[in-house]
Amino acid sequence: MSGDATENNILGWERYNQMLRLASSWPEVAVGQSPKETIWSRNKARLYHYLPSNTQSQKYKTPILIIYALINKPYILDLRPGASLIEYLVKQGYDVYLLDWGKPGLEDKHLQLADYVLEYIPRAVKHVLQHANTTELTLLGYCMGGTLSVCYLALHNDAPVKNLILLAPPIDFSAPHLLRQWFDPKNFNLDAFVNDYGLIPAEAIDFGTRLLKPYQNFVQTYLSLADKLSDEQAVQSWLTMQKWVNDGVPMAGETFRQWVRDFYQGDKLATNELCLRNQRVDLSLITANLLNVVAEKDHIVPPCQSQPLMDLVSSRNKEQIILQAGHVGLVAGRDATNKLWPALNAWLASRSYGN
Amino acid sequence: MNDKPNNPPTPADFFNWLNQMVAPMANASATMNPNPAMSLDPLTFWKSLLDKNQETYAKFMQQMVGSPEFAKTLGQSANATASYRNMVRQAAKNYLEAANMPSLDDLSQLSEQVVGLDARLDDLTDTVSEDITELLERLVRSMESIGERIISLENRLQTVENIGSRLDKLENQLDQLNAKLDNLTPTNQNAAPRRASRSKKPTVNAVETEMGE
Repeated sequence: MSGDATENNILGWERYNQMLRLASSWPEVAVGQSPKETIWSRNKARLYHYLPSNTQSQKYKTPILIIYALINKPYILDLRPGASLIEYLVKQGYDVYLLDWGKPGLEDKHLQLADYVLEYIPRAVKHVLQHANTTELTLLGYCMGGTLSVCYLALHNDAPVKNLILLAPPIDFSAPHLLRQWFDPKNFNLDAFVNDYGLIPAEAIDFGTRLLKPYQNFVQTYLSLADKLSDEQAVQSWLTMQKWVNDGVPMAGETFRQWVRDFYQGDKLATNELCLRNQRVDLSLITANLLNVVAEKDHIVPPCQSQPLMDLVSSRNKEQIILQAGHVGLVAGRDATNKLWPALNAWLASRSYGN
Repeated sequence: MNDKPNNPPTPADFFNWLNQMVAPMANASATMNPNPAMSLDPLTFWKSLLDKNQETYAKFMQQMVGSPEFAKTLGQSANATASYRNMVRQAAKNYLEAANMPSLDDLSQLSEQVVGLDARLDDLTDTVSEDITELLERLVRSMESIGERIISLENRLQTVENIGSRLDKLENQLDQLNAKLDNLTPTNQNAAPRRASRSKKPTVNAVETEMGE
């Protein structure tokens, strides 16, 4: 046997042993490490205020309120030091708040979208303004959080929102999409599913999301770990991402029913037919400064679902950024750190009041 | 595997199906460059096998999940175990009731009441804080108004004090004039002394004369 062959075999066995050790004792990783305080809570929802370090000073008076999605946990925006959008914004001098919806229980199965849009978000906005002692804020919505933010603004004409930043928001569901095919009433009995479960399990939502790219999500992601075993930082990055992917939250049954029926099946938001507590959501009433960030390689919320928003709002000051990233890579990947975050800061800095 | 659904699958059916799954991998390994150095490393061998075919596997799986048949199967499987779950749930509920223990529904109802209570407390806190804020604002406005009035009164008082000091000066000047007038008229010793200027206003002519001198 040649020397190269021996070396290859040794390296291969070493990697094999490393994989076995990793699989046998899955290390716990720390996530969401940016210091924060809870300034308000209601039911499972928590409103967090992120604290700057002693050496940082607040540069901008206009606070940022981040509205996260109802799927998965929000620490994807604060994954680890150096890979945290929240940490970046705080370092740039912004006053950052996050509305964490928490983990709903069976008692929350009756919660509807209207409850989130008309009860939780307005109260969170009020508490942010009180805590920050200001009169206007920036609303930042990611994924479904963007949809909720848009509905809130459309139903509250006098909302004290100066700027609206949306990251991959699903707005227009008219284009063909796998989820739309799976949720077609011919294939899927929505009412029976929701009535049976009450609270849609996190595993069901996670499975459905992974099924959009089955090979990549069920096979390739683990193979990619084998390639990175010699790089400790890459392994840590993989482990933190996997922790978030596997850390889903259930969804209230009525919210899921409305999300599938009115959005995936009915496409009511983009056509201004969506009603929340008998109030019609009219996107043309949105006039806040708008930054719409779209991920070109997003298979969960493809660009065709986010881009139409630009033509539906009445904002005079609006801009769209298209990044070559996926749905999660948009906020937590290399492109996020190098492209999105600086672009976001540049756009927001000129639209936030200085201290 | 078996065209006749009433007959159980035979071992031959099983191995035919297995061969269909393994055939692509066997073909791929046959086309690989046999490298004795890799043959002893299972992980590298497996990885190279997958690298060569992963694009094919990915495409195949993507086509599978995108097919209408898969969508139908997925929808049906989502509700397939509903009756079984209902049966288990009902059995558990009956057992817990018989054992005089709370069921999941009972706990859920209790939690709903707690959630409702929490919501009411939050609303009450908001209302009270709004009322307090409004009261404080009204108090501040009242205090500001009082402060403005006090300042106005102080200004008026200052004006009155200024007028008083000017009156004092005028009185002093009149006293001086009276003294001079008394000095100017020494022959009128029996005449009644002039009263102080406080009780009698000096005549304009006398003052003018005095001022002229």
